[in-house]
Amino acid sequence: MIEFRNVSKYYKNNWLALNKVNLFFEKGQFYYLIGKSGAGKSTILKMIYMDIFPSEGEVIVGNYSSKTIKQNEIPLLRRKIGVIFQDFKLLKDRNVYDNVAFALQVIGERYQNIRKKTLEALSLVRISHKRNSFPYQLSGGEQQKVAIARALVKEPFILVADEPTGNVDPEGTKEIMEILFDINTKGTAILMATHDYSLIKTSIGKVVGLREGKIVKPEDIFKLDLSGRKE
Amino acid sequence: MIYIFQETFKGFFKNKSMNLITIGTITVAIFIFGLFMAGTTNLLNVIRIAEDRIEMVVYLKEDISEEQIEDLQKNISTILGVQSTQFVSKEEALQQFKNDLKEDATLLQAFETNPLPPSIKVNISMSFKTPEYLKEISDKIKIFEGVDDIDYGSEWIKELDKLVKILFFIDIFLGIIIIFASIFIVFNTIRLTVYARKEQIDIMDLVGAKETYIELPYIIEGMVYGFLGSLISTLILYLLVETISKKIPNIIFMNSNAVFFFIFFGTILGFIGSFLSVKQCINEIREMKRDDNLKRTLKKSF
Repeated sequence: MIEFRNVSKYYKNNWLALNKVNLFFEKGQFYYLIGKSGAGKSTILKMIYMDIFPSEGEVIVGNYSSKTIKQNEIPLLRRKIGVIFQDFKLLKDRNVYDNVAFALQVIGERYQNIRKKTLEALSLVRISHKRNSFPYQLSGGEQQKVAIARALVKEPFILVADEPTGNVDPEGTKEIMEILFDINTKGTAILMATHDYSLIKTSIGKVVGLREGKIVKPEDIFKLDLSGRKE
Repeated sequence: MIYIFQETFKGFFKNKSMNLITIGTITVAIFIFGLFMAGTTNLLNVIRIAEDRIEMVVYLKEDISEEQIEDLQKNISTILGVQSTQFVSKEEALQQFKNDLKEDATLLQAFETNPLPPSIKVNISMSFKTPEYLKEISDKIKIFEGVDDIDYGSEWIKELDKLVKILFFIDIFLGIIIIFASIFIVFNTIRLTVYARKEQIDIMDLVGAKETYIELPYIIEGMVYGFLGSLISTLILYLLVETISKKIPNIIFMNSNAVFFFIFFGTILGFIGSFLSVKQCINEIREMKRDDNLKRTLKKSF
């Protein structure tokens, strides 16, 4: 479904962010991408929604390849990928409902469908009761739920999450994780970058370790004890 | 589609004072241009009336025979640009002169004989009433036998021609300045609107909105500025001309084609300004976002 073939990425000053990475993400699975800040996690995520392209190698997402995708195909690819961030990226001048509906409006979804799909997505992340609130009236956890709803409303095959619990309190984190598992059981693959290793210890999912742009065994990153963990 | 118009509408009313300044400036710019255009139109009108009166008079030698006159008229008629000819005999010329002089006609009694030569009046087609053509026609007539002299007011025609050329030059010069000024104003206003909504653009990119959805609201906004600016200026111009024409008759306003063109012209200027602005700003915003992310990543890793 998503494949990285010998992918390297150089940024300015020849700084090597990814070094010959080979990865394969299967349909409907739950993946953790762990590593310290600057290990290349965000670079991998951005390559999946083709915000950045490899300097060497190839990224294949569904039917699209980083080598052959045209500029006007990128929006079409992104409609199939949900993305959430540490800082939520909600529009401050719109309420919860409008923030989620926005994602459908701007891809030209039919007017009749927007309401139905938006309300469904909001109920999926259990935030329907706050649909008329504005982002500043919500806690970090609640804002992240709205961001998840916005990502899900387009019915993506994968949800890419970049440190989704970074700005969320422990209680909110627990709820967000529950929602992510929920979504995963319904068939959407999840790829979550994090450096909160406590999350991994207690949950299911495959773990990919990343250090200085290279794939390493998760156990090597921090002397993490993952024995007894179910995959 | 509904979304695009909603966004345009929102953008339009979010920053009212800025929008008013933009429309106001475009109005003034296009109004000045319109004023000159109206001035030129009216002057051209006056000049056309004057040009209408241009005629060529071919003076003939005293000893010319009737046969020669007939031949001459035929020959002149075949020259390109000549509409018709009319023979004026010595006697007719004198009669006309007397009519022109009226009371002073007694002056002519000082002459024992008729001092006026016979002549042929040559009517020239409108499009040939330029100094170059008139000279060409006159040169052709000059070589015919029996022709003494030709008069077609060559000097003042040259002056008139020069005036028209200068006016056109000023119009074009002014037009170019107005074009650039209007585009520049719209460019900057749209730039502010786009930057004020850079987070929105970021999210649109992320959820897979197509370029048209991202850009169209801003481009339409620019076109609305141009449209309103030119509409208002045309309206003011119309009222102004109406007022003046009460005092000075014969003043004319632009015809309906010109009005249509004027408003279309303004809208196109708005389009160009906003189109350029949107293309540039959205690229800048995307670049900035990438640089920001990169800086953050670099900071983290070192």
